[in-house]
Amino acid sequence: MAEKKKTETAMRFMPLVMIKIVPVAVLILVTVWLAARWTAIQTVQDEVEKSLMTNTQHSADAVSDHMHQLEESITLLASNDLIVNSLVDMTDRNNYLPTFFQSLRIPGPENVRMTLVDYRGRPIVSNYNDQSGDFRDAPWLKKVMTGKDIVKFTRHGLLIVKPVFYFNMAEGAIIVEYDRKAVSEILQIVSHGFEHAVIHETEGVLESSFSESEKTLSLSVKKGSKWLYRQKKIPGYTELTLIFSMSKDQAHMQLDRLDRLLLIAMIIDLAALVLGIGLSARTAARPLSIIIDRIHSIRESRQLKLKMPLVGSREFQELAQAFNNTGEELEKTQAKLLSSAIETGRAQLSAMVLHNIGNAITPLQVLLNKNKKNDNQTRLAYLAKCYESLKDNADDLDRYINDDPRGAQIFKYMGELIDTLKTSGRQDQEKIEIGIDHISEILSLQQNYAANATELKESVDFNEFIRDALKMQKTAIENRGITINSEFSDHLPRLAFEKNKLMQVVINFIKNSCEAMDELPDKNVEKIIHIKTFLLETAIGFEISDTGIGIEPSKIDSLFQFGRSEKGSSGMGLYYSKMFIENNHGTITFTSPGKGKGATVRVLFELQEKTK
Amino acid sequence: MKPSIISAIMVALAIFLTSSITAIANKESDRILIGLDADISSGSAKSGEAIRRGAVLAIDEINKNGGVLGKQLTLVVRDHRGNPARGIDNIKELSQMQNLAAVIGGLHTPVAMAELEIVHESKVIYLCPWAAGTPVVANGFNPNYVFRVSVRDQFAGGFLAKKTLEKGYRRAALVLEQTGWGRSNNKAMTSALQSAGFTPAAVLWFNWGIDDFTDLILKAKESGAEVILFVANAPEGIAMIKSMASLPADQRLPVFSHWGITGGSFFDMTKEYLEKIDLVFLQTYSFINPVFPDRSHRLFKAYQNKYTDVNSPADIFAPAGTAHAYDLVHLLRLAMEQAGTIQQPAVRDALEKITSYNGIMKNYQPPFTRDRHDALTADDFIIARYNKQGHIIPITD
Repeated sequence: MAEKKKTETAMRFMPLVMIKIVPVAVLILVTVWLAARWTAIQTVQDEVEKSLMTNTQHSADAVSDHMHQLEESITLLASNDLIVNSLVDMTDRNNYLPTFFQSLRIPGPENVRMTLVDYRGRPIVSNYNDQSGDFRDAPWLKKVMTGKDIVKFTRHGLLIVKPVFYFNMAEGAIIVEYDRKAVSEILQIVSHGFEHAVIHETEGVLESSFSESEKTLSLSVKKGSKWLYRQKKIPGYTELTLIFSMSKDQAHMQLDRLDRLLLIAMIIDLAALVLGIGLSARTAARPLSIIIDRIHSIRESRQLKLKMPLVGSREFQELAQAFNNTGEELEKTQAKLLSSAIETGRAQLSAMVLHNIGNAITPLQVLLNKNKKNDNQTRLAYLAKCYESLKDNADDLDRYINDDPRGAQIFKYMGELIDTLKTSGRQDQEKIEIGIDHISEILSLQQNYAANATELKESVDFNEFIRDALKMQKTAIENRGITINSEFSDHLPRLAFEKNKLMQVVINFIKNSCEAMDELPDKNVEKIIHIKTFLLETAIGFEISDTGIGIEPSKIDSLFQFGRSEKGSSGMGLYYSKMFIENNHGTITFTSPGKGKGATVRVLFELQEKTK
Repeated sequence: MKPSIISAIMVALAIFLTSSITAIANKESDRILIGLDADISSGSAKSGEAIRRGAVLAIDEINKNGGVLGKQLTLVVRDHRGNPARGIDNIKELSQMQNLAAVIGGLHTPVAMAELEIVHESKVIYLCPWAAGTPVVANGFNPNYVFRVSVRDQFAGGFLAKKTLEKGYRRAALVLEQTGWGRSNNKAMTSALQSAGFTPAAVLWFNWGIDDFTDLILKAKESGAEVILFVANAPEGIAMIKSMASLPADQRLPVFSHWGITGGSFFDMTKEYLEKIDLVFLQTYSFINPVFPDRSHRLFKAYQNKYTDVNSPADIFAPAGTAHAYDLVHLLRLAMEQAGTIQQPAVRDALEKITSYNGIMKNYQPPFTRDRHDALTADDFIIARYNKQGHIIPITD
């Protein structure tokens, strides 16, 4: 079950990850890939260039080393004392030298012709039998006999001539001739996949792996359009130039291979990323599930005291802890708000009571003033005038009463005055009694709904409760000329509430309806508040409708948000009311067809088990 | 310019040139050429120079006295550097020269032996003032065009072997260069030792160009040798002395050397080591203690007049080469005078017929015969050593 829930949470979480995280991750990955690709391509190009340079250098050095080894071997041979002696001694020359020469092995190619010549280039002995090695006319002979070496590449091969010294003077020479095939072996280059060529400055191409003809080779390479290349003079043999080259197509093939590898790597990375995110989502699902459930629970119960369990990874635990801390702070804030709202409600009730009492006292004052200023003064003045007239006619009172019309009038008028005073006194008495009754009633209601420090829930009759609320708002209603239509359902069950708070809520709704009337632009519109109570199968409720200003439906949700009020108040009334209703297992809905079309607030409370 | 004038000028020019060439040719034909084919610039260059000086001193004397057959003698020098190939070419070149009377050879036996064929083919008289190889003279050619006033190894080997025995050494190792000269000495020395009832402790060979004798010396030491009989020229002699000096004192051996070591810059290159080595060598002549002091003094004076680098008889380097060449040129003069021609076959014959000559070396009676072309014998040999100044000092005891 828990696993299923976790999976559900993960499934709920996955779309979020897929929509919000994966695209960003993919974007980053692609960007990184593009950067890596660009860097890799640059690196490959650099590597190719560097490799060309390094290989050219190494191969040039290798060829140079090889050549130097060959030369050293031949120099060693030329300084061999048997060779030197053979220049001098005929016995050596005839008896030992041919055998010695036949057995000679110079490192390098097998196919090599070696000849020992005298100082005039005449052969003394050689390792081949055709005896064609007469070098008397060789252009280099004089140079050799001054002690200089000859290393000469030709189209036919390689010629190395080393003088044979005796007492630091050249007295003969060892001549070593390599044919073209042997030269290829000497110049054999480990090309590491590059094309290469060895070019002699005058003899042309000596060795080449290029397929192009010799004639066009150097041009093709040096044009630079098709080839990446490096060239290097062979150290010690500067007439030789080694060229290492790679066609750009080949280099691009390497790049393409790298490109494919990078692409595959990126796809694998991407898959790993998605998989990782998925696994992470699943892994995070459990603590998330717990956190989400707990949030729902807190939201539904309005119990900010409920703590978030510290589960999952450190980040989730920190999140839960932060949530708990925030909940505690919210709870404290809510308590303060509730306290403020209650105080505000009480103040409103008190103001309302005082207002109602004032309304009740006003007629009494009017009555007193009227008695004091008008009627009673007039009556007293006329009575005084009657008294003066009687006093003036006291001597002849009888005549005056009987004969004089004014005397007769006085008596008649005094009788009427007495009647009037009786009637007026009775009426004033009645008015005073009514006023006092009204005040008493208000005070009684107020006393009934006055909050205690430790307020307890009391059983409430909704119909009676609504009637009391209307009574409390009677003055406000009457002053606005509002007609109250009430429709009370019989046999409503009683529910337990904190009466004072519920009264504040209901009065708040009635008051809002009254104020909604004030905002009507057309003052001739009939002002009606329709109040009804009703009983449903599982709930009991009331509904207050008005013909007031109403509200745009789109703004209804904001009515219950803390701090949102179009009247300029804090908006805490509806926010508090909603909170109170929901805390008492109730719901509140506010509907309005639109601006100027009135509004209806409907409150439902779940029937309590006991009540059911 | 008219063609006739041009023609006249051309004819005059041709006549002038022809007459000039004829005059030069006549001048050449007035001279008798003596060739010198020796090492002038290589490892034994001093031997060549010593020979050249002896020849020049003799030629100067002869020319001063009217020359030979009314003609002046001229020395034509060619450098073979100890290289037989150069020597052969030199002989070929010299043999083509008009009025060539003879060719004086150099120190190197191998060169001389290589030249024998062309010498005899060209019928060139070959006067040998130094090369000691027995086969140089005992060459098998008939008629034999080689005449020597120098050591013959056949005698020198025996002489040196005898000297070691006289010094009390009973076991001698032969250290020889791998040439005809070395082989010639091997035969002579071995024979001499065997004649005295001994055999060589070892016979060790080396090639030209060797630069370290340590192995050979140690092998000689291991063989039980008490002394080394050494046959080498200056370059290898230098290497031997350096190697010997580098060994601990108890590993060193006394060296009795053939005279080839004195033909180059041996002393200059070894003087710092020589104190450590007991080295003696073969000589035939010394201006310090000459057989004929008057003749020697006269020659020394001539030498001193000619070559200002000499202050005393001891300053004359390679004196044997100078003395041999000096005597050979005079013997040639006598032969030409007796033959009345410079035609070499006739002069060759005349050389064999000189009855006597009082030379710087000895009183030749006769110098050569039909069967003996070596003028010196073992009786003419001496032993010498270098003093600290590099002078060759005969050992008289």
